[in-house]
Amino acid sequence: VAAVEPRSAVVPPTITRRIVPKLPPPPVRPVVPYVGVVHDRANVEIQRGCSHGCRFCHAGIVYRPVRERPVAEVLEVVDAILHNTGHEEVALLSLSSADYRNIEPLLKELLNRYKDQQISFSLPSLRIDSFSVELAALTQERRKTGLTFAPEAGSQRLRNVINKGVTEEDLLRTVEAAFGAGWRRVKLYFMMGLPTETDEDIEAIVELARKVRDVGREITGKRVEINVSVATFVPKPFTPFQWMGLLDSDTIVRRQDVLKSRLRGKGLKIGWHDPDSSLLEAVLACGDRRLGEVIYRAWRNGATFDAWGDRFKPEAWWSAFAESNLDPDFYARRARPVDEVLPWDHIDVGVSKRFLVREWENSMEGKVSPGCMEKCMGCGIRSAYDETFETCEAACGEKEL
Amino acid sequence: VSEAGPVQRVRLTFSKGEEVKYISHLAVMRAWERIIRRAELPVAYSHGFNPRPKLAFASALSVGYTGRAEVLDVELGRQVELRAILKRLAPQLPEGFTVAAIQEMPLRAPSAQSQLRYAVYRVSLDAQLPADVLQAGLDRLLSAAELPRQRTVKGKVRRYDLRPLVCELWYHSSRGGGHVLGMVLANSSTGTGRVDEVAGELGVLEDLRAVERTQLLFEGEPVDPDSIKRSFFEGG
Repeated sequence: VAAVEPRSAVVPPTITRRIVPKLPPPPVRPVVPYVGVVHDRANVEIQRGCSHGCRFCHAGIVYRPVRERPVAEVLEVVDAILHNTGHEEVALLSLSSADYRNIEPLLKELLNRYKDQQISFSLPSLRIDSFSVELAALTQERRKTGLTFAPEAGSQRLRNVINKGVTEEDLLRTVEAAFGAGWRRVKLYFMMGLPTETDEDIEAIVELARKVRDVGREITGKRVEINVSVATFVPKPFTPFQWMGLLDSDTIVRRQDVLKSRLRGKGLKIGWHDPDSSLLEAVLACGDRRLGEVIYRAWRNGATFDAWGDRFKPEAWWSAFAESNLDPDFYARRARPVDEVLPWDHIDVGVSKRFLVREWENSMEGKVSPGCMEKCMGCGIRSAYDETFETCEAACGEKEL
Repeated sequence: VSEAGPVQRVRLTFSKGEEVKYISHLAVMRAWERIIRRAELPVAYSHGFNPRPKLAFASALSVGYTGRAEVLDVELGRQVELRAILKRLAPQLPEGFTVAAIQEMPLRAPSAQSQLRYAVYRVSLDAQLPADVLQAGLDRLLSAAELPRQRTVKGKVRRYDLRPLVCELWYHSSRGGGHVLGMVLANSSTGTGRVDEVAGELGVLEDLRAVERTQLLFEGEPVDPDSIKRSFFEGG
């Protein structure tokens, strides 16, 4: 790709993401379906943006900066949405709910207000720390269904590469708290195919999962269930990993086989992703406008409901690529030079490419970067948007580098 | 958590209309839980790890059938006047649901489901057969000593006698180029007669156009064909 230019004169050459300094009011009159749907509950966004800076995370970059919805407004909105829908559960949405500064008072107030109506509350994304376990204990007081934690990588070396600021000790202490509080089922999310990954990092996933199980047995004196989900990492635009390729299929399969054979045993269960669907995901994530034709052709070839494993027809896609004279590997498996024109370079999400390059270099050196709350890394979100300057400063309390 | 037990039980008679006839019984239950929450009625909850609102339906209605007088008992943790309940429910009912009646029930009365005996159906058929042939079919069913049938339930073939489950059948009228039949079928813990089974026995399964459950008859209520027939079109 030499350049991406508008096809119509009315389209500006650069598309700038618009950032609202204050979160707009959330929808409080959603459709209430009769059938049981996947997320059958009321949703209230309590915070947008995340301050952690994990290098694989698309949402962590494109939803910057962190903006909180005030507690008083959340309370009002929950009241309205319950009144309008009659739902029995409310999810308090954000990229990292435990980061919402008043999460504990908010949760306690909500539980207190709705205790007679048996309304339950859920926090979809918890950090790996004991505070998060305390929050979960508040929301699952009666029925402890399960807790999910995402160490993302098995070894400390690799967690530093991806800037997931979590140590093994953090995780073990956290699950210790969870088992101590009465949970028996813990889900662990990992990724494979991360940059610089070796077979030792895969082995480290096995070791870590076993340690978690052993902590569970020790604390509870009973059987525990550890569900280990190992997704295949797919590089995403606007992240420091946007220049890297998807792991080749043979290595994916070989490492999955290692995990499947090594993560056997009592109390351990493993889930993984189908390599073909990861390839398609990677192509679509980092594709360009030529893929419009491929998508159309794949549909003509019978591709529908592709996210359902049993309906996914990889051949429909691969032949669509062939018909369009395009190679999926060109999009998905190629390491891109840092000076290559990327198909999304004309979109300005407010975070500078310079910052992404710097973070890519840091990751290759295994250097950890602090989150926005500790230190501003100069990602560009502040200077890019005068309007939100104040909000961002209020959120991280630091001057821009 | 409010541990106070229920102090009041009310019986709602509601309709499930055309708009919602394809939603399942499970979905109807969920819809009512939400209607009652939206209406802010102080419904009582069951105890235990997973408290459920105390709603009890008399009988599940088959998907695709409409119901004119479905019965739901609701237990409340606080006393509310019947008229106030109706007033609060009215604006919360989705299209297709209406409340036809409300009455107080003794708290300790046996469940509606356990007291249910019969269900009355108004069955509309396409006019493939002449009325007299249909009538002869009805007569044959009613005079039979037994009606052995088999049904496949979850892959297993079950043999049973349909006859004791059929209480009354009659040819009601011809309407809009079709026929209307009336059926009173058993609906209790010991057996439930199905409209499609009766239609199968009559050889008119393919002609079923619409089925409406018009009435539920409970223990102690007389099965009086004449009064049932008379009330058949009331409100419908």
